[in-house]
Amino acid sequence: MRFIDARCQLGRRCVIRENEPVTKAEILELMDRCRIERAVAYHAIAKEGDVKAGNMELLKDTEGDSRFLRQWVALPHTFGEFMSVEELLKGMKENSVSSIRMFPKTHGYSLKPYALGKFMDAMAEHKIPVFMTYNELASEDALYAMLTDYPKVNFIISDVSYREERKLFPILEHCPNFHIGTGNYVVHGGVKTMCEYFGAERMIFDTGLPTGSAAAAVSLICFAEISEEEKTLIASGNLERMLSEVEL
Amino acid sequence: MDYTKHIFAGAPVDFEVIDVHVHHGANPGYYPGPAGGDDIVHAMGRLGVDICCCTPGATASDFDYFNEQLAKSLDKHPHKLRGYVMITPHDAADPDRWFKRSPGFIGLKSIPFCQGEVSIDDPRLWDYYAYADRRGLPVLVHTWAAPEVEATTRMAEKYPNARFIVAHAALTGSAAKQALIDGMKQCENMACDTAISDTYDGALEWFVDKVGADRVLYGSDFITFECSHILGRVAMSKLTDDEKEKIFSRNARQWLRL
Amino acid sequence: MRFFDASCRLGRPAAFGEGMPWQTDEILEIMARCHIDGALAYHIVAREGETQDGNELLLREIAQIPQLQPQWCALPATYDEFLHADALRDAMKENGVRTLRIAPKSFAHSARPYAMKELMGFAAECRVPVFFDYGEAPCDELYEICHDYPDVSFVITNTAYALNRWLGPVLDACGNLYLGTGNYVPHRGLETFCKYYAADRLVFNTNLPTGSATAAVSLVCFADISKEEKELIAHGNIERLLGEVRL
Repeated sequence: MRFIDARCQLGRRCVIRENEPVTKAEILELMDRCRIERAVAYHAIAKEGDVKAGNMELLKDTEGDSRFLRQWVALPHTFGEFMSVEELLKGMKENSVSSIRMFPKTHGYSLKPYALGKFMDAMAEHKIPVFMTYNELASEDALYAMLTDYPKVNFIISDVSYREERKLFPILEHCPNFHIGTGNYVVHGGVKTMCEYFGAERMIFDTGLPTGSAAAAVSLICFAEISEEEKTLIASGNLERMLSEVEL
Repeated sequence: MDYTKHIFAGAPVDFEVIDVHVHHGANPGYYPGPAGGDDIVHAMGRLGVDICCCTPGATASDFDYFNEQLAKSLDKHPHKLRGYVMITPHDAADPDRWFKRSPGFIGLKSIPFCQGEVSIDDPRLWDYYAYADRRGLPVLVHTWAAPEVEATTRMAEKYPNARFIVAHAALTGSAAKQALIDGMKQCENMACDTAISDTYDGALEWFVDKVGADRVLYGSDFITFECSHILGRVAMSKLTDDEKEKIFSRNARQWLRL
Repeated sequence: MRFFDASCRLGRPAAFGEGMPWQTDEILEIMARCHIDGALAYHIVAREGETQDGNELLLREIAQIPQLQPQWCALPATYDEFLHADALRDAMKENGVRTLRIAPKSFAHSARPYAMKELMGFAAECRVPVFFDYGEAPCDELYEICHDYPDVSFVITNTAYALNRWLGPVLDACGNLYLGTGNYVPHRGLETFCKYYAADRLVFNTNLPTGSATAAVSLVCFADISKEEKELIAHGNIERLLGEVRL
């Protein structure tokens, strides 16, 4: 079974726990150990420092490296501080960047249409998936609002953990554009239950490397009580399909 | 000196200003405006600030990257900018390589609370403070609440030759202020800066009344936010001209050996 | 350059910092030191205690002080605890009050039209500018309030330096939003604001006594904008807004 990780962070970050992997070599060692073929990667500086500079650092760090699929962090174009939508799309095309990650809480901006309408229209038009971690959203209601404000954008929400099922179930029901990253989705029998109720298509394998455990993430899928076909979809098929649909 | 007149002119002031607390590089949490060395120097020119002592980035996730970005600016603006080397509890790097990298580096920046809520007196930072102690270097320490000030006092006692500049706490909450007053009375090698985005008129006067003006250093925390308002807050305060002159530059020249 | 402070506060606060000025003569001393000719002032009791009583206290406090002009705190007339629109108009006219300050979070009421329609309808009809601290309607709530009442001019005070990514889209979408400059201290904030939105939408204020008048004045003096823009911000815009009030 092939695994493609939908969430990996490259670059040195602010907080490093004892013995946590830091360098690309250490991340690759873990990927090899856990048989993860490739990973969608964004850069730590884009999250924790200068978004534009971090996106450029990502290009340098992944130059000629087919193990990593490039992901840029995006900001609204407020006060001209980030690329316009047109510039972003052009830059993505030129640099083989196929997805976007956003940090609305960390970076401090609204997700509402008055603020991000034009941006999300472009994501929908070009079928660019948008990734976020769950804690970047104020609440499950904020998640629901975002998903319904932009029904044509595919959102991959990760790091959901194991206590949110009751809140997320109705959102999964109502919002087919809501996909869950499986890393740390460690509800007891959660992967199986998701497959039963919503289909394996709604889950995307991810690890959260280097702060999340790749071994745990892989193990979760391997041991899930689902069919091999469903495992394959989750491990790589869904993400590959989504990224292949991007039109730049 | 008619400080008020200088402010109202809105033109570069002609009294010396050394800003001991400036940030170089973007802050991820909000739109910071132009944030590099050229932008800092441009702002200095508008206000008439003579020297800015810069710390890399906000909390410097990748401190190697941000230290290097600062080093480039120090090389480019050797007469206007000085730098602090960002240190971190997560890496036992040798700061010496940065002081060799650029003569513009003059001290260390310690902000461990923002690097995983680590205490200022965490043993992982002791080697850095010992380095500052051996060389008599300033250490700009980010503080906010009383426990952080108290931790800084402990380090100032342990490393008496290092020169600790306590950022922010002179103008935050009552407990922090009192801790800082106690610390500065206890340790001759503790100073403080004036960096805070928003406080009331009279706060600085109150603090100087408690500790004197000799170890209060002008710091703006620019480019985290604007700096012109901090200039005015000090310039138009009720402090005496002599106190203002000390705060604006004389103390920094002595403390930072500029 | 003349300065007119669009928002400061009088009255003894419940808690105040060491050395903080709060007495009216201390406020006036700072204003004089900073060359601030006049100010709109509200009373802390109106904001933190009894709104109508506090508004009355304000009038008594500033009766002999021509530099200070009254700003009333307001809330919906639920259970008649505040004046209804007609009575409010008459009282404001009689007492020379031309601006209102709301605080929906602090006063625990909704800012949506089902709750504030009467009050905001009055403000729109009489072109009374309405002030509130950013914290009273932050983030998306700011958009909602500006969008719900497009004919009311809102002035937000007590912003900070980290809000531009929130403020920008609201400023884009809502032409009725003005920014008080007190503590609006992003790096090159005034300059960037003038570039993207024009100086017309900035209103000088200090947030005295919790905010610094010396800092607020300095911010405008050193802003890298034209003299005309500084004049607009320092006093021109608030004078225009006040001049448009029709009670």
